[in-house]
Amino acid sequence: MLIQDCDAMAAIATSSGKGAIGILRLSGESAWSLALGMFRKGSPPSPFKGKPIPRQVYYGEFFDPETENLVDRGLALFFKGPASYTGEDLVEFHVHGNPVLLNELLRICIRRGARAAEAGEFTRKALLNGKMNLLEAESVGDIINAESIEAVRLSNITYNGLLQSKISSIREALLNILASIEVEFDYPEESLDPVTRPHLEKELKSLLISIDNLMDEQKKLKFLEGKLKICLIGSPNTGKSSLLNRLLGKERAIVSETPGTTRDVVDEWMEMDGMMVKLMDTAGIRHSDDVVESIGVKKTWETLKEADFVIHVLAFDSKISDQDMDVLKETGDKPGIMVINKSDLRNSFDFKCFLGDKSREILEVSAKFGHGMDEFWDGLIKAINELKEKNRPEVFLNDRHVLHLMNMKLDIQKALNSLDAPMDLIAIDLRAALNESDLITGESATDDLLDTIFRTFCVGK
Amino acid sequence: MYEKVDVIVVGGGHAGCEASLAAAKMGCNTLLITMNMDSIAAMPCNPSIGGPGKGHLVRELDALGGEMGRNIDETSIHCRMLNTSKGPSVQALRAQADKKLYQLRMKGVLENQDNLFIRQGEVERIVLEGGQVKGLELKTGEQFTACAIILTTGTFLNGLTHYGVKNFPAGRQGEGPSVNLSNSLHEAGFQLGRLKTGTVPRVDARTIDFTRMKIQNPSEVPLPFSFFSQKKFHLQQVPCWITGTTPETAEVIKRNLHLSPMYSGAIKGIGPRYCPSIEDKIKRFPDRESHQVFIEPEGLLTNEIYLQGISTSLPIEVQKRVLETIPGLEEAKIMRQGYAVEYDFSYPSQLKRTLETKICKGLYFAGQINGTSGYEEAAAQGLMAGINAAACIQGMEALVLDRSEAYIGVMIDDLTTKDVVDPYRIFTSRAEHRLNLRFDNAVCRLSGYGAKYGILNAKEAAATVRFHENVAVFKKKAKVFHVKRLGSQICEGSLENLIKRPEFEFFRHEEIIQSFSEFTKEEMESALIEIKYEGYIRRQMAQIAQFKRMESLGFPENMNLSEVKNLSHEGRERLLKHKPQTLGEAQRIQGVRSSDINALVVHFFSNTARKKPAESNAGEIFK
Repeated sequence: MLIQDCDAMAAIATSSGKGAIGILRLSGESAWSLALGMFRKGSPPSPFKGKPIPRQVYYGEFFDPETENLVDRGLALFFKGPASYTGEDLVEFHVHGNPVLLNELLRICIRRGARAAEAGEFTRKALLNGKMNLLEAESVGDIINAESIEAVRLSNITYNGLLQSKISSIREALLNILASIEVEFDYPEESLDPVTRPHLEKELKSLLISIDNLMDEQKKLKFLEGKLKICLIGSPNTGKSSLLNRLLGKERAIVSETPGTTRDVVDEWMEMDGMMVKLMDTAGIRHSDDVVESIGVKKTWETLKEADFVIHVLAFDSKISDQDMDVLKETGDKPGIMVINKSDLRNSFDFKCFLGDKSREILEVSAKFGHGMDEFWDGLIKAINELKEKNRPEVFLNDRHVLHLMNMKLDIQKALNSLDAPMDLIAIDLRAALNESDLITGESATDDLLDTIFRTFCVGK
Repeated sequence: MYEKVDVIVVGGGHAGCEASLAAAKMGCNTLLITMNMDSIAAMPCNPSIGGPGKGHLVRELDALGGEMGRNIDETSIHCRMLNTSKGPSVQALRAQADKKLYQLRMKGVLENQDNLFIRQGEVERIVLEGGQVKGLELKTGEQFTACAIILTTGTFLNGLTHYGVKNFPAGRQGEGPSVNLSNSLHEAGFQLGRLKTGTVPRVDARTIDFTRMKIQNPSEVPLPFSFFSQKKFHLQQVPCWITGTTPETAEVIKRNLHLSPMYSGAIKGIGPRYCPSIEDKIKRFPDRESHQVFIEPEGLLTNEIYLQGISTSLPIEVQKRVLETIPGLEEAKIMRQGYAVEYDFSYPSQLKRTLETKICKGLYFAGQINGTSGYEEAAAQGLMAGINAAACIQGMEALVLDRSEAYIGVMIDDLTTKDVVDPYRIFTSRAEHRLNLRFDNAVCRLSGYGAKYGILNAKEAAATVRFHENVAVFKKKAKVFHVKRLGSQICEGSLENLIKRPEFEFFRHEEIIQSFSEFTKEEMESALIEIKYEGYIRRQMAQIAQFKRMESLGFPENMNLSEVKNLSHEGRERLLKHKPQTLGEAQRIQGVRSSDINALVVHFFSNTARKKPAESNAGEIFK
């Protein structure tokens, strides 16, 4: 029973590790009805008759409406907009602070039509609905991050200084381009070197690259926030699904002797060393005439693209196939490890040789008998921690920064798309881009533009 | 009994002329007091009017009913349209004036204006009483009372001219300074600062070798500034020339820098960055081999030639040696030497946006006294001060133009919200909504005000309305006008779509123009721009709407900043000093941070924000 056109968003409000209490929030017009469909109050539990009373705490059961299975017992609080954090109707579920459990609740919400809120979206809603100002909104972000990510808290000051300087250097570059255009408007007769269109194009494109590089920093945040995606990939029947089940500690994926059992991508959130990761089991890579299976294989390749970390699974009883070579080729540059399954059937094949010039740690396990699982687990955590360390973001970009950087990119792109327009119109787009950067740094474009003109060019009669 | 008038304008420069004309046209009994009747509308610096930004100001002034545009049109001896290839918003007109004729014509206009009388005399003291202006006293002891006084003192307040290491108290070359008036303002509580500006040497045309220079010919068709001027040449048109400094010039200057009052420390005032002296240019840009020198005649009946680009206060001997190094000027004889002038100005943050001073009711400042530079900047302020002084007397609402409707608005907003550290000049770069502030649409933007305040007469006002309407009619007609063929080419579609094509040139197609004979060329040009760049204009209008929202958020009358939490120390001081009226204005004040604006929003707007989230909240405001 899917709620059509559900405009609610949902997110886990508490941090990703385990804790005594975990909170999930739902916000939006359908938040209440969505919540009432998965919560029964009281003991013994019974559905609500009529609407809940706002700001009253209800004890009850959370269940999956599809299976009627109990998920957890806990508290539900209902807030009526605009008297809520976001200014909209809002519901909070207080349950046991187990990430797996919270994710299960989140999944139910999403299955029932809610949207997974983006990071910071609840606060942005609050801002847009006039519940707080920009300053308060940003400080909320700071507080949250200070509490959940020790690393960010410790290096907050450096991060911000660095961010300022990174944005400033992008802004400076844009300012210089704009100044070289505008100086010719105000000093038409000063025999300056006029800005040519090809030169402008080159400059703007390199500016776009700088912005992209800065925005990549936000993508790295997932390594801190624990939104890592790990993909199990390999030939059919190498035991990927068994390995998934072993890692999850439950029979999540169907396991059979028949190669190609996994067709769709099976994914599951799990906790790994205090961090949530999404484990994704994929269909084994092979050429198949089976339509469904070949769709599955296609999906595997797509899943691979979004994966941050790869577990390439081989098995002692399978020969290395062309597909394995393909997988290696496609994944060789991604961080990951290689697992040789079915160590009970160990032979003398040298898998190192297969790796060629790619470097990858090789671990041997038997998913079926559980041999080598501890070493595998340790190796996995070690590799992921290394990845985390390597991708530690240099700067902390929040959503607002990213929004303005995105807008900046759009404006610059507009200028690039209309390079044959008169220069004063191109300047309109570039000024808009400059204004976006000012919204991050709080500077004033016009004054700085003139300063740059006078600093850079010898003009004036 | 003292002589009693409605408005007194002190100073007969470009600001004073416009101020007194505006006040008189609005029906106020107006007196213009000038130190020298023969210096009315003088051009002590370059003999030209207009250029990017400045030309826009003149056009706006004209649309409001000012005189500068008409005056230059009748006395110009060389005009050109600049930036024609750089886009519709930055095209600007510039004209060289016959300096003397410019003055004479303006003097005639003033002398024949109803309600306006002119007196020669030096003002010694402004008489104030309880925060209200009462009148003034001349050096001779003569006294006048007035409801409003507009001070347009130019460079005369405590003027000090510098010629090399020598200096003399003077307002400009050959004219005395005004020392006591400056003291009188200081005593009244005005915070005064010191600025500097300079001029170039003038040389005898007979001693210039024009064959060694590049000629700049004037436009072959008349290009009037004024919407109301006839499209014809009133005077003979003459060329200008261009030459440039050489590495030897730089050598001479470098060797003699210690003789420049700029570098010896004799000049305390800050000079304009945008109009640097040649000393400055050589020092700041040592790698540049040549700096341009523009050779501009000062009039038809004089041999004086203005050497635009080499403003200097070096001693006369050095000026001579400098000229010897410039191609074509090797033998040039200096008629007037270049010099610098320092003068007092009043920090314009002490002004309301009407140009009335905050501390003294009825007292208005316009022109260089506000730290600006340039004839056009002065004239535009003069007009606004004149209108607002008269409006106040007559109980009409004040005329305040905002940044999105006029360069005049940009300038006055800048002056009242930003700190003036060097003489202020308008630039197209200063305007955020440049595409709306075009030369061609000034009449559409502003003539409504000119008519409302009575600066434009009924006939003039009707002409501007007709222009505005016809532009709209042309746009409508172009939408439905179907073009079947262009010359030999088959071409199906509306004229509007055709105009939007980058390669289409409307005025090349006689066969189409024939069907639009009811429109003037100017109407068609304006409409064509609006059709061609419709997308950009629409975006600009959206930006303007957002800007207006911020401007519309006025602070409560009794704004008590001490109650506002989280204001930065500097922000609080700046807000107290500038006393902004709207949130938009507060945001533009130098030294006010975005966090300060947030604090203000939380304090003053949070209650309304909670009630009406869609209309005024922090998220929207800070987009």
